Amino acid sequence: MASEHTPPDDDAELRARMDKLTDAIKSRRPPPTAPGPNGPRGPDSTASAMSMGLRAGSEFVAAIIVGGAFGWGLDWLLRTKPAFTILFFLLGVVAGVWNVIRATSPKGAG
Amino acid sequence: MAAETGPAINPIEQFSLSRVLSITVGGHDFSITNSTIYMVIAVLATIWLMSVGAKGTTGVPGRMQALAEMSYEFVAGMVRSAAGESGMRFFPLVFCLFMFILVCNLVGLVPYSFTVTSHIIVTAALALLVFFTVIVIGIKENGLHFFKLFVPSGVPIYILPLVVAIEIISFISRPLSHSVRLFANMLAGHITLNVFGGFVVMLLGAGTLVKAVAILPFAMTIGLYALELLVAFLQAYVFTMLTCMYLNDALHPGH
Repeated sequence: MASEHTPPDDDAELRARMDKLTDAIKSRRPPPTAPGPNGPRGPDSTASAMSMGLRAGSEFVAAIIVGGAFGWGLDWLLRTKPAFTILFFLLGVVAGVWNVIRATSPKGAG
Repeated sequence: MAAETGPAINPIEQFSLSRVLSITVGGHDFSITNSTIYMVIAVLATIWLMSVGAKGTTGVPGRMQALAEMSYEFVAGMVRSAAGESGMRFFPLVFCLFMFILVCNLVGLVPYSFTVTSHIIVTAALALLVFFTVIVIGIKENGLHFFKLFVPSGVPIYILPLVVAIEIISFISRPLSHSVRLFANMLAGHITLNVFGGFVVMLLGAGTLVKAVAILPFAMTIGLYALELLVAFLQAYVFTMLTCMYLNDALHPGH
């Protein structure tokens, strides 16, 4: 009888020990947000700041180009030369600023 | 200016495509170019890394296994944090994109090699793949609800048309910024490296006194090379990160 019941008991015991170990490791580890700058992957904050800069710049410009091109296309279709180009260029600028705001604001807020 | 008669240093020569094997199917050009070859190299390198990394699953991982597991963990963490647990459905796509771009960028940094990602057609194809995946998945998953992406909640009705237009421009600008960023960074980085490398050659070819100055652009080249290594990783990271965020929009367009 004992031999029948020991395997699950062993399993449960093992799992309990693993859980305890995991908890112990977790409590010893520094919180994941605190050691950001000098984490194991090197200069993390520099990298993320650089990636943010690259993103913000390109997204700002891209929105302006798309807005301007869209307006230019509409003008070309409707033969209303500067009107839509101006309008959509400005909308593109707004969209670009909006892109940058969205990219740089904390994730939960957007 | 004796340098003008010497071998001209052309910083964009490195990006020129050359046919290795001419193939024409039905009037269309399907030739194997140097770009194709480097793409195949990147894919084979990734397959090799992952298969070697997955083979000997010992308790103590070796270097290759650790590298393979690290890349998996890195991308999986990125997908989970940006697109949630349901985004893990797209993990294969995201992982392929990340590894392909990263390995292409890194292979391109080897001297005399070719940088696939410095051609906008390649990055645009990748960005449009993501763009259309987002649209198709978004409409398939959410139906017309997907278009709520363009209609933020809590906006007064009289400025809604303006906001919708801005949101649509912002949405359409995504593939452009997505592709141009990767392409422009790789292109600019390699041109800069080439120009500074060219300075070294030119100064060494000039008078004896000027030769000593060649150390300056040489030091600059080394510094730039380190920066390019960072940029190679960073661009792959940014591309993948944004892919995850766009996929998140497709899965949860509500906000």
